[in-house]
Amino acid sequence: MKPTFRKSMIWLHTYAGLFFAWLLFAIFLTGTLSYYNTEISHWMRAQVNTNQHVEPSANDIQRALHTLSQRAPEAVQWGIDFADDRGGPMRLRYRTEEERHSWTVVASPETGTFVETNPLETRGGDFFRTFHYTLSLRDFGGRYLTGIAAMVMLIGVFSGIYTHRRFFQDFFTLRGPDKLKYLKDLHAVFGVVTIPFCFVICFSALLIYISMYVPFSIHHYFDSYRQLDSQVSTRYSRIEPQDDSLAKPANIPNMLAQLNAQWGSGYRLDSLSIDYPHRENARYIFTRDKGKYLSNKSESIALNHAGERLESMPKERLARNIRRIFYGLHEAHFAEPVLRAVLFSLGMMSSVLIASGVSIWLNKRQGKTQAKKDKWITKLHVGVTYGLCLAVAGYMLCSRFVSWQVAKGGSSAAMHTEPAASMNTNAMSVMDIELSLFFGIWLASVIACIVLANHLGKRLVFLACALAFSALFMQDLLAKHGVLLALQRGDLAYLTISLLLFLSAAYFAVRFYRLAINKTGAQENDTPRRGNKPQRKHVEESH
Amino acid sequence: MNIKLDLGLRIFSATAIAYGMAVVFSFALVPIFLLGFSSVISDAVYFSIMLSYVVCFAVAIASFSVTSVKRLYLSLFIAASIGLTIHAAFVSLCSPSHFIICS
Repeated sequence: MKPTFRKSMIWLHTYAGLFFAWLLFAIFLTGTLSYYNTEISHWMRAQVNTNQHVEPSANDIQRALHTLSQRAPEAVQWGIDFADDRGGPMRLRYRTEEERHSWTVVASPETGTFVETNPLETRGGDFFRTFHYTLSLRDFGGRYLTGIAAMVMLIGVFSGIYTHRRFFQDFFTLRGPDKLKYLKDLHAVFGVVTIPFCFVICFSALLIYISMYVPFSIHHYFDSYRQLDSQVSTRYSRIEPQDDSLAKPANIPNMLAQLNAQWGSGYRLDSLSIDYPHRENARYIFTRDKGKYLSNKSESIALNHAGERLESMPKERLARNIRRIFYGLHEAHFAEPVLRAVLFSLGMMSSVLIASGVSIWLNKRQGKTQAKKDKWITKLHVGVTYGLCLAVAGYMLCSRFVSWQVAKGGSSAAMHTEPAASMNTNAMSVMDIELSLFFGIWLASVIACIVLANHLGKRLVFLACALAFSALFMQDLLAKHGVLLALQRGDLAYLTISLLLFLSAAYFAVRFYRLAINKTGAQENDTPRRGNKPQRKHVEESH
Repeated sequence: MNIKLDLGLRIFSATAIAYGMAVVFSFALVPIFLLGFSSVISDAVYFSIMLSYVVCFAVAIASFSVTSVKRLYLSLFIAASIGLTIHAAFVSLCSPSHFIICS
């Protein structure tokens, strides 16, 4: 191995990063997008979520309970997931002895009740969230792959600290216009900025699936992970329904007064769950939103029908709390809009960090050899990284186009009252189309980059990205329930996604324009670099 | 030693052996938490697994930084032996029938 620890770390940083770069890039990019998963879902379903309200009143809850009593009179549990300010819609759910069911509702201005919305279901932003930890390979070891990638990223971060040891000098250095120098400085700056972020994200990713990654000691000391979890996690005790007792009407104003007394003003409700709603001993469990907690479990209060406090949930054990806090840090439910934007930026920087690492390695290789495989790797790198960006745009464009077609076919009022069964086939096909399009576009980008010359492939993908994101933004601008309506309503969640689309379109347009006007620069990528003498030794030897 | 063999042994150490060491220490740390920190068995298992990632990480780093492969494997062998000894020495104490005593 290398003679010194630092040189060993530089070697490890280079090759660990290189072999996992594309996987890590896909995980980090989609993971970063999932900071806005609710907002993206809201944006993609904009035509159906027209009646958002954030603070549920006693009247809202009464109306929701009335809807549930009509829909599922024999249920053993009802639930209401309240709309939130991130664009998450209100959902009602129930559970009987045989089945569970949930659906999205909006308040009908005519009848004052909650009606089911158009079940034109898209996976929305949840697709990115699920993809970033399963890679759409849930049953084929996708979660193990992401676990390995998280450990490799931790190793990359650690070895990167030794590679770029002059933190402050690296941080305040950004040299141009030489591409290699610029890439190195960008890599170093983003590396310094994102060290804590990457560490927390990767370590928490490993902690989330401890029962999958290191299950042996659990199975040695316990029958299953479930048994271990039951000893460290707490939940409300089971209640038995009182036979032959009829439910008394729920005193919702009293309940809300009790919540105010316990939590003070300014709290937001996340959900209400009602056990045995038709019995006298019905239990109403109100759960606060997670905005005030680092943990992924928020506070809840159990009340009876009169609004009197029932038993409280015991506190969880320290070990479980530590894991929950890491879980919460990973998901960032606590993040208000500004902090969420910061986390999103850090995620994007991490993605750029990973991609730029490969670019640096390729650029340096071009200076030394002219191996054919390097050209292949260069082409694949462009196809995988920018192709994924194009696939994201295609995925969003698809759902927008389908929902626009559906809206064109019927009025929005009809969409709100259409029975679920009649639209189910449509909903299934939308999800399938979205998935096929996402992976199809990604694959097509990779193939196009391989087939075409490097500069042509890169230009094509940049142009396609610029056009796709521009089309998304323009469609949003011209749509009836688009960005203009969101501006009127002050819908921050929607506007955030519109802004990100605009920035993406602008970024890719600029990148394409620069490539298009700089013909010599484009050819430069295909020719070996010569005579590029190192100016800063510590950076040159880093890779 | 042949460079390819050297590299292959290090990669094997950084992957399979690092994971194996994590598993060994997820067992070995349980009695340490039980006796040293008076934890209950569930907490001890939880903490052990969390810390086993650190062991895995440390072995992976060490695999590429220790200059001699022989010394690397010898160190790993000693560490694994210590871990297994701790587990074997206290395994009866932490067996399911002693859960109440442990906790």
